[in-house]
Amino acid sequence: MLSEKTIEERLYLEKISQDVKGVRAQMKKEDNLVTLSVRWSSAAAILLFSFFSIYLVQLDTRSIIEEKCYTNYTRSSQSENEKDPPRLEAALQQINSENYEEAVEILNDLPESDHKDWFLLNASLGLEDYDQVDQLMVKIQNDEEHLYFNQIDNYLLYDIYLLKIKRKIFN
Amino acid sequence: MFFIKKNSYSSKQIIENIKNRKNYEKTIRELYKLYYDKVKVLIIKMNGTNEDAEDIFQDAIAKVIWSIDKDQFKGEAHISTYLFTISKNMWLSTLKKRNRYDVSYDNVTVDGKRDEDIDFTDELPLSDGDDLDTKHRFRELLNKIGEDCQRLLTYFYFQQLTYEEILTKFEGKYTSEKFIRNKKSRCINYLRKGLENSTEKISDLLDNISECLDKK
Repeated sequence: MLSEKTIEERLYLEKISQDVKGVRAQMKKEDNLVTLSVRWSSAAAILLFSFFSIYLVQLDTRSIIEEKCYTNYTRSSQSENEKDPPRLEAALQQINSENYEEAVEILNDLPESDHKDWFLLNASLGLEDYDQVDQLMVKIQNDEEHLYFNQIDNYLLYDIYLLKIKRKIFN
Repeated sequence: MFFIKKNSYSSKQIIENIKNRKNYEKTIRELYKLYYDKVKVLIIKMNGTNEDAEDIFQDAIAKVIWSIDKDQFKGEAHISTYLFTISKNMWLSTLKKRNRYDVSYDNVTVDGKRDEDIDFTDELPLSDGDDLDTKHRFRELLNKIGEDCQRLLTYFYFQQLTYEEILTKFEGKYTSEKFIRNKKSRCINYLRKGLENSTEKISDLLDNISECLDKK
């Protein structure tokens, strides 16, 4: 016959087991949450990386130049007296025709002006001469009166930074 | 380094935490983190399942806690040795009861290390051996004895209240200490009978004594 002591021990063990079981259930619940959040984070990271990769692949100097260069020249040329509009126009045409070296040659012969800085920056971008691009950007950024001061925004800085990374990856 | 791993509790700290119910839940978690996987491997090596391992380890922790609570724990070996030994013995008893025991299982060890030759029998509850099936049967019996019986037994054995204190806990439902005493005996008898007649269906057993259990 089973003793009362045995029953008592079993009762005690059962009570503690229920406590332990509760802790274990909580642990499993937390583990599931962690697993779920790791999966979501991984999915988000993959998605983000995919968007970044697509953006990086489609990003090139030409798209930046097309977006920035022509519109700004047109707008500014209407509002400012130019020192040498025909040659600036010629340089711009060379940039638009992707003849960046010719554009740089023309621009180097021109007197200093805000337009010259901006076109030179675009032509250097076309040539992937990032040292020159950096120098011109610093010059424009340091001059609040510069006609193209507001054009050096975070988007442009970020795009140029990505282009440098892209060149490192693919070269 | 992004994550700094906190130091694990030492065996002594684990025992102190359990004894004083200090960081009790955290300590149980720590035991799971440190030793559960090894016990799981051990049980699976001996033809068990994940579910068996969960049940066995839960019981092993409960037995260590009982031993500490009742001042039976001598701590002559590391707490992990207790957990591994209790788990292995309980699973071997279960296999024997199910006629699935194989002599080679005796040589299965944790991490390939030889079992420490220490006898814990006098430190642990249910010294006559224990198996999963009996544990499950007891739990089933306990779930069927009714809420009042469960409360009464918890008050008496776990919280160690007197009959007088238990009477007040039931807020006038029962009239005398004598009645509580008798009810406790009936509850215990039912559990005892349920465990002794292991072939008898629990539902039949309950029918036999239901009149006794419901009687106020």
